[in-house]
Amino acid sequence: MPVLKVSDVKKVYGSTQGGSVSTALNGVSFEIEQGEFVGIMGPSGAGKSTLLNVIATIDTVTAGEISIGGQDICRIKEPELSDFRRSKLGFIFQDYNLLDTLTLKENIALPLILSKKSLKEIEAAVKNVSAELGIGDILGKYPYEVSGGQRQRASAARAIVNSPELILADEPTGALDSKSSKDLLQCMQRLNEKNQATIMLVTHDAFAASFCKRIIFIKDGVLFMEIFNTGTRKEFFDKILKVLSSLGGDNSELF
Amino acid sequence: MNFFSLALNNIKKKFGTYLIYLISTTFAVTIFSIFCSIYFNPQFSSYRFGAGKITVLFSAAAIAIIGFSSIFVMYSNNIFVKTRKKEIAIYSLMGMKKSQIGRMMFYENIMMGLIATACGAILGVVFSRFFAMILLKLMADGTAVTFSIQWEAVITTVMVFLILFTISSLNAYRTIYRYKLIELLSAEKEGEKTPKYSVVGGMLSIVLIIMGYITAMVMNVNEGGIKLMIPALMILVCIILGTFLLFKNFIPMVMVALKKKQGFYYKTENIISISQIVYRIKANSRMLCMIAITCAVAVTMMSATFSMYKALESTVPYYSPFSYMCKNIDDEKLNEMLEVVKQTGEVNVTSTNQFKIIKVQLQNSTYSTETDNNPGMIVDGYIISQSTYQSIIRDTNVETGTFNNLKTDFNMDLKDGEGYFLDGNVKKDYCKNLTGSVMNLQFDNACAGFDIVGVSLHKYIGFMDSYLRPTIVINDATYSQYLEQAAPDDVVSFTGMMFDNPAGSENTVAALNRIVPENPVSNSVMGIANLSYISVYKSIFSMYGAYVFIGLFIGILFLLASGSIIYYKQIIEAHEEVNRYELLKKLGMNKAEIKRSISKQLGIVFGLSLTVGLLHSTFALLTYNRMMDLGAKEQHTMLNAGIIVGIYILIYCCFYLLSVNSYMRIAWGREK
Repeated sequence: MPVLKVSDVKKVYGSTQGGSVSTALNGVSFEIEQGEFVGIMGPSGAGKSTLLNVIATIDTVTAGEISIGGQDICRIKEPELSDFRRSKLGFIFQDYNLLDTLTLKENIALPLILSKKSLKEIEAAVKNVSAELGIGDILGKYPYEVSGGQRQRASAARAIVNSPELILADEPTGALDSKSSKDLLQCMQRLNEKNQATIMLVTHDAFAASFCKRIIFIKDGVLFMEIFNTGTRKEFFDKILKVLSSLGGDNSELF
Repeated sequence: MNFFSLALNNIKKKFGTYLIYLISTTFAVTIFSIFCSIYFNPQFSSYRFGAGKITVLFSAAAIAIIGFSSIFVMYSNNIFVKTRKKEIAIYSLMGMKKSQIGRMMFYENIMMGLIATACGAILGVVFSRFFAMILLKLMADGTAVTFSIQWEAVITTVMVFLILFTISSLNAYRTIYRYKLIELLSAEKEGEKTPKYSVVGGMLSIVLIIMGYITAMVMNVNEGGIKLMIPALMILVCIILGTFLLFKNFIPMVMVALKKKQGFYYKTENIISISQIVYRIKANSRMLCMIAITCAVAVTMMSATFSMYKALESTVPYYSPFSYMCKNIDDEKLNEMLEVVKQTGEVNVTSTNQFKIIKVQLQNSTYSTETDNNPGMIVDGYIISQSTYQSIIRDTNVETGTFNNLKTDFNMDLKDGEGYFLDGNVKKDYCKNLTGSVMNLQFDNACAGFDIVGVSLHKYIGFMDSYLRPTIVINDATYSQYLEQAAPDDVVSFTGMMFDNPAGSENTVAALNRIVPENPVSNSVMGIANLSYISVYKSIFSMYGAYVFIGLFIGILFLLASGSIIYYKQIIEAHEEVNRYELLKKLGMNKAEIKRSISKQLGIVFGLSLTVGLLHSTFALLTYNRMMDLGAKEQHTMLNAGIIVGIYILIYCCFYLLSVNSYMRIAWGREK
């Protein structure tokens, strides 16, 4: 059974306000299996973020179905929705979304605290993930006291601390320098390979995407193409660039 | 860690941000509490339950203050919740239940509310003592007042704010339910849209405001009741609507026009501050309108009451020209009186004047008393000698002026057969054409005519003659002839004393009244036995002092309110703009340039609302000035308003400087 099943999802903006209607997603369908590391790419305005938002239950679909772990997420209501998010989903955002009032440790522990886990379990889990992401020695600091790369790794640690079925990453490297980006992406790759974590990564950056095993391209709200990583990362990177240029998107930003 | 401790933790960690909210709400509670303790003070209970204007005013003030407090608390709460939206979204994403988030927000807000209520109630009790003292001083009630804690006031304050904070906390509770997650998550990113203004709206705003001003300038202020209410309401609607449209349409119009003038726009600080204002103007328009109107209300209230206070003070000599006055006192008694003044030791006597006037009857074909309105009638009046009148003018420091109850223009030598007419009427209607005509004087069955060479409305004996009879000043020689013929009953002798500080002569007057007989021996038809500056002062201010106090109180309240709202709003904006200034810093703007830019930007926000507010109050005061009668007009409402406006601008500037400093501290951030 696939971890994520998206079938014929449509998202239309603007009809409720009575303004002009714009279609962000126009019938997207795909599946992600357990242990996959999938990238979602496409030119600006293709509907990448919308797709991520509806999968993340942040936004609602206009039509279609999304199921995660066999559960139809379009039908869940509060308070089951909160439980669902807590146990099944992990988020990594471009702008980290860490709480300034909490230390990195408290931020990472937050999903576990909300799940009312025992102190021992929390300590162990936080220690484990923070070591994996290389932030074990800065856990006592506040988000504004550490670098962007460290913040993003803390945010990644928070996303995986409760071993969710699906990790959603929205341009996680968008605000990072190339060194921090590479560190983070390698961490994610390791999580995927070692822990069998299922990751969906939305990005416009071909370098970031080259760490994935599979990439889904969308354009104008529909699925455009799928490619698989069969060789080295370098080869995959070249493949991605080719697709991007065929998409007609302006990829001059990549060079 | 449960969500209650999470809420507590939030308050502890983010105390800085919470502090602003806490201070502003505490401030609202304090103001309310002060007013309550005055309202419920048993000493003022007569104002609460009476039927007079003051009761209405008191209740109106109570409603105004409740209204203000609620708006203020809700406004602060809304801004406060707005800054928390993203945090809520993150909690939600982490899998916190909506009900838990809601409860966390509720706890947090209600905790802050409880702290604010407690602090405000305590501060209110402390400060109310101070304010009650001012009020009593203004009302010149003089009696010793026992200040006790008014439990009614404390309970009312606590109840009102518990309700208010419960409502606002419920509002915070509902936030998570009201917005979609995606809206909450991007609440910070979402800027205000570029201002869309309509030219029609901009023009309409100017038209409405001008219409309001014109109506104010031409309306008939002597009408009463409903006839006064209709134009007043019209003005109110025109001005409020006009001001709103002004800030919503006209100001953005001007700003966009300025933006087009590239020579002006492309200067380091201008580009930052103008783009900032244009960017924010939509959200600001409502606040700016609110500030401008509060400012107008505050300035008008304070100026009007301040000049009323001044006017009241200046009318005291109209009733009592001397510091102390009594009748039919012989030399022995006078010495006794002077001894009493000395013994009391409160004030010094600067001059004493014993004078006589003679009762006569007067007649002129055009003259009448205002009460009878029957020209040509025979009126009871007096004659006074030239030298006596001059000594009164000298002793009571009368200013020179024509047709005024407090001034005279008498400075001449009267020939035989000439007379200077002192009208007993309040208005000049019957005496303005008397100069040049003949006043017939009937005395002891003999009749004589006096050529009137001058007239005045000066009330030289004040209310010692409560019938306000006219007097003719004649030369000393003629006067002594009359005095010889006069029967003892026809002559009234007065004693007037001037003190160096009449306002502080309370005990002296009380002591004097004990030795001066209440009812004079002679069966004089004239008014009261004794009169003092302080007693008149007290009776006037016990009547009107509460008006002055309530006016000043509300004025100060509104001033502080507008200042703190604008300050609060700027601080919130500064927090939202941190990233922008971080960027500007990286682009190479130095500290001085950023400070100049911020000063300019806040200067426009503060200056605009102040200018519009002052313009409104100028017209309001011009109308108020027309409403006041002759006496008060002499008191230069506009001059008094100028003093108030000066003070107002000063306090407003303090708010401005405070805002610039705080903004700068936030925008420039920690030195790294």
